[in-house]
Amino acid sequence: MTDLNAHKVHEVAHHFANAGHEFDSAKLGMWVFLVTEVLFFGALFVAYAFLRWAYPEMFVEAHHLLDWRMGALNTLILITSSFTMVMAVRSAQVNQRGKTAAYLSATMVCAFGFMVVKFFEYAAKIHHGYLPAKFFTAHAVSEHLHLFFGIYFMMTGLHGIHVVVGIGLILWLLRRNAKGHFYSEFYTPLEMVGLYWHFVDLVWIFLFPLFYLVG
Amino acid sequence: MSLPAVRTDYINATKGWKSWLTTLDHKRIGIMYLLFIAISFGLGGFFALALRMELLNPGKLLFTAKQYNQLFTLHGAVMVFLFIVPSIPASLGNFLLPLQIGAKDVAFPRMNLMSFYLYLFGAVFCVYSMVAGAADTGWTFYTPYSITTSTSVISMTLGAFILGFSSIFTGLNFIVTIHKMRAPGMTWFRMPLMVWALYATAIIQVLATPVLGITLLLLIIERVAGIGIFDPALGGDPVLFQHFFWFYSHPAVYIMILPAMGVMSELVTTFCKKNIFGYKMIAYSSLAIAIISFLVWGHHLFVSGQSDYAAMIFSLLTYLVAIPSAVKIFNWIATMYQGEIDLKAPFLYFLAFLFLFSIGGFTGIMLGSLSLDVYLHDTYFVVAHFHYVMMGGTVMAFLGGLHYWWPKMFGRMYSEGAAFVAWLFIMVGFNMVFFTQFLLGTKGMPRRYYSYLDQFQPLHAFSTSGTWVLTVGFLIMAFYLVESLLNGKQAPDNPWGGLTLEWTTQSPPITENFLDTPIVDCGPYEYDKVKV
Amino acid sequence: MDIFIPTILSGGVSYMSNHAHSEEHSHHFIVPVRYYVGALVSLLILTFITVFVAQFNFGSFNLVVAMAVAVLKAGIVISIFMGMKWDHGFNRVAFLGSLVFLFIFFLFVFSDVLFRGYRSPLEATQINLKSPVIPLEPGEVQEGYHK
Repeated sequence: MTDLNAHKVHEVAHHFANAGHEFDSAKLGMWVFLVTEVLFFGALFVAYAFLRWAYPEMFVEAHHLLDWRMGALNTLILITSSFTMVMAVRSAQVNQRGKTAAYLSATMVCAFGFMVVKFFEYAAKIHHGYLPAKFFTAHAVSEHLHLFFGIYFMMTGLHGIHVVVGIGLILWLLRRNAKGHFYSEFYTPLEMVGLYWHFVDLVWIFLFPLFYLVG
Repeated sequence: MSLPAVRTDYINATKGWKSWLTTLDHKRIGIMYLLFIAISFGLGGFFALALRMELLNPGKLLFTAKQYNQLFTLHGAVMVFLFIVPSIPASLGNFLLPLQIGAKDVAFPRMNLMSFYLYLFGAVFCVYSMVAGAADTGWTFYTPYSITTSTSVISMTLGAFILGFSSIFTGLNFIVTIHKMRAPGMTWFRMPLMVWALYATAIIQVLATPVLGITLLLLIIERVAGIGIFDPALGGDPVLFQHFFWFYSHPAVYIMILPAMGVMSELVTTFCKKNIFGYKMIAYSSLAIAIISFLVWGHHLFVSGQSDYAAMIFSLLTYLVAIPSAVKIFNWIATMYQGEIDLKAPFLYFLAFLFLFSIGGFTGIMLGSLSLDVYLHDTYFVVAHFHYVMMGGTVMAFLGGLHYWWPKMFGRMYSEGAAFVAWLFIMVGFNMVFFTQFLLGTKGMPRRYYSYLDQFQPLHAFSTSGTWVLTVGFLIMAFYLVESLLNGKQAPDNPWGGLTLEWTTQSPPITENFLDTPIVDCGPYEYDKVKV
Repeated sequence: MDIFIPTILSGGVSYMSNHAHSEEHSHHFIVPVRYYVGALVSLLILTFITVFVAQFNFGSFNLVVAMAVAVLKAGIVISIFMGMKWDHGFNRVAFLGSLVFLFIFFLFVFSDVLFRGYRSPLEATQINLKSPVIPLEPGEVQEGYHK
């Protein structure tokens, strides 16, 4: 049995002065990346705002077609996963490799849970024919209802893709953690994926009330 | 001068094409970008030649109307997305940024290489679109036509989408590099103005490009599944598409011009042997342009049915851009005053920029005036205006920068005489092509038209003949630059007497850039303190 | 060191110039677990509140409440989970800056769409709508309806 606390000593890349320099550069890079993500999703929120402004009654009708219980469940799942993610980073900071693995696994279970709930929601919408215009087959009162499902699938779909990417990143982290790459002096990838993951959570925090609750 | 016959540098440090494809060296990545940007420029130029040829007389000459639409779309898309947006930042900027701030590399070398491959990947989609029924929407992809046309809009927009990410990663890398990688003593106000310009550019790249990404994604999904948001037949709003598109694409014209302005500041000090006039004002004006660029996009929508209220605000805000641009122009002219002006090729391009960009800028203010724009909108006046800014500005500065740093990049000197001849052809050809178009525009010739009234024929023919002069100029340049690589004189480390850090290392630089990390104790252009 | 660096821009530290200094840099600061647990609990409570409030119809006030709660939740995630509370100045400037530019985008788009139809009523009307939605038959219940 290998020593769980043995770790591979991280080598600082040649063009950085020291580990702190490397970490801070990576973190600034990550924040700037999140800036691009804010504008990326933000533009969609502007599109949402336009449609909502243009067809307020349609949105009231449409939000009843989404199940708020599913949305709320997913909100709880993502919030919990953000907590486990941050605990995974913290565990690495205090050299608890086993705990890092456990928290990362918990985060991944949450991510899968989110996607499972999403799957059932999408399946129901597809079954009823509530889809973007070219595939829309449902009966409804508002003649603009397809616009709601256009933006709904666009926004939640893009968010879902981010969750899937997050699952891939967490898998990668688990593998590196198992190899003993992370310890109190080096946990940069954990921290960066953590920031990404919280951003995914952040987007959902706005998507949930805008689609499921506000009529 | 006695230089050793062969020195180790970044070019001969490792051998074989594989060592280039997997390189993490910012200089090699910059050179690879330069190669593909040059190819793109050639391709875009070829489309321009072809479409100008078609306009030699009214009616059909070589192409059908549809082919003509595809030609101007490809010309625009290739020139904007493949050439001019990455031109200075990704090639010259990549090569120079770490050198100018005294760093060993950019902050994220792997991301830098990935950005290059994304560029190639995006380019593949664009080229695929050309062979598989080229898009005929114009490079702006306006809805609803772009939703309904049968040409390959999806692959072209997907290409532009991927190129956008390439641009974002370059910008992100530059921001972190400038923040974190400066040499000891290199404070913010000791950075060369090129670095300030690249910083301002990177801010725009990071803030604006994601919106282009989402816009193009929405357009793609619109075609595939019918989101409906940009499609009036489904209850959407086509003007909203224009807002989305120009929220990126107007700042993007500053992505194109800001690095060019950075090159200008470098050229003027070196070839006047004088400290820059108004360093801080030039630095701040770069940031001001970056910020104001986000407030003016609506001037592209003056006749699109946007509300009068918005149009008036956008017109007013558009004038603001003139202030920081003029600050730069005045400061460059003030720098030239009493300088030891050396009319080498890079400085000739500096003068070309000053002259042509001023014309482009002034006509821009005319077009920014709401009442005047209603008459000039979508005429050749607009075409002439943005070519004066983009080609007369950015391309001239790019060529100036290319000549200026050519000895540093390749360690060879080009023929100064041939460079002058090429410059002359380019200047004359450019003005023949585009000044004529100002006249065409004021006479009412609409842009993007396949055919026209007979009365416009002489001007159109003159404009077209200018493209041939221009082509001769570029061919001469291609010839003497390639020739210099083969048998050019070996370049000294500092052929022009520049003071910025890149001139303190050897030509071409070693892989690690500097033998020892430089320590900076003065501003970048203090010619009054140093005797060269 | 007599070098002037604007603190907010450089993140407070110049690495290349002070090698020794940045060795014990702030990234070794470890956040106490109580912050994370507190954040988790507050987020769960706020989720409950927003769902609870949505059961009542306050008209347009619903949107205000929902957004206020969402902003509060976002603030908690950003400051605690993402560690903004303990982060460098420039990281904050960058992130908040992105919100400013997003707001600019929002503001100008709406300065157009809110004031259409002033010049000609045609600008504010909709013609030739080709809706894919099939109208509901009298007495037919919409599928997948949730209260």
